[in-house]
Amino acid sequence: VDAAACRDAVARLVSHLYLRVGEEWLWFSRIRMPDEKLAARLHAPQLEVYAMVDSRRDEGLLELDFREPGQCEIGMFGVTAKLVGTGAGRWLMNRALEIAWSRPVTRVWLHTCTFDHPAALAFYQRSGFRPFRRQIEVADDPRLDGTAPRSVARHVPVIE
Amino acid sequence: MILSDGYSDVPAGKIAAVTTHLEMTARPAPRSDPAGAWTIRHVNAPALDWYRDLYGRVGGPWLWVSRIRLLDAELAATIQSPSMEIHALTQEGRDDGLLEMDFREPGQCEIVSFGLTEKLVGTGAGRWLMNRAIDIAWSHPIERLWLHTCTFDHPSALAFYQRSGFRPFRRQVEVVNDPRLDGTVPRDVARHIPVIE
Repeated sequence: VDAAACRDAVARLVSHLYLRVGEEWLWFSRIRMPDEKLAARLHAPQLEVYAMVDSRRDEGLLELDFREPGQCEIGMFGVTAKLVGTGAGRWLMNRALEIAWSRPVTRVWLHTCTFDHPAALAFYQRSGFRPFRRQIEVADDPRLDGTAPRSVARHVPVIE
Repeated sequence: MILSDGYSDVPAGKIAAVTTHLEMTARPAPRSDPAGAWTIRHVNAPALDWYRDLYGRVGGPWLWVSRIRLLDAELAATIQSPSMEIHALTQEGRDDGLLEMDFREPGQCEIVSFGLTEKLVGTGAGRWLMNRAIDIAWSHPIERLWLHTCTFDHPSALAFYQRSGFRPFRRQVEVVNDPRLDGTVPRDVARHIPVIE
């Protein structure tokens, strides 16, 4: 199999799961990334992508980024709508922390934002994370330029 | 000021909220009232102690601080102004909801404060109070009713206001000193907004 084609196929699979997990939360950074850049990122050896499988379907996404020596950033963490509230998130976080701390790291970190599920921040705090930095992000609304469907993420109103 | 695209840091010791402004320019179709033993009471020229107590009980969990930081004279001038209408939602003889309407701008009404104490959240009292707010506002000669909500508020607040007939029209970012670090409010309130020092 052609390595480039394989990389593209994996990128497409991850993108599909990324959409199913993140669309409702307006995850758009990877959607706006050109294919080659996304593929290169996903295939960096220090970047680990995991799918959580439920009834043989990929229903959760976990990305661990070890590119910074001694550190792990949870770059993506989420489950599809049908698994929200089922405990799957806790199960996946337990796996994420096991994997991260099985490596020679001295720090695991992540970020969440006000577009995420309202329970996400408290969930991460219960998981052992301590808030240390706050930022404001301003971006073009991805629902107005075709990056995401108009109807997603109603909890973040479109203002034109 | 318009923030540039991308990330801007919020300094430690400060908090930041995204505020959404919503408006309606015609009286909406009425929504049915949930059943409950609530009454509403217009409080004319509210006493400062009474107001601060209810404002604190309703707004404490949501980090409402704008009125808490006011000195007596400033607060009195605000809430005892003839263009301000303050109502209390009462249950079993206790004031457990606050509705504050500002008619300062001719032809307009701003709902400045809207909320319930914790024990009434999720009981239907909020819908009942919003129905009253809409009745009162539109019984005045206005063409526009508006309010704002922010990311510190109950996660259902924005959708609640949209279901009530308000349409989002403006978004702002607010950065302020964390009121839990300067003694304005207790350290342990509003855990959904972590203190970052």
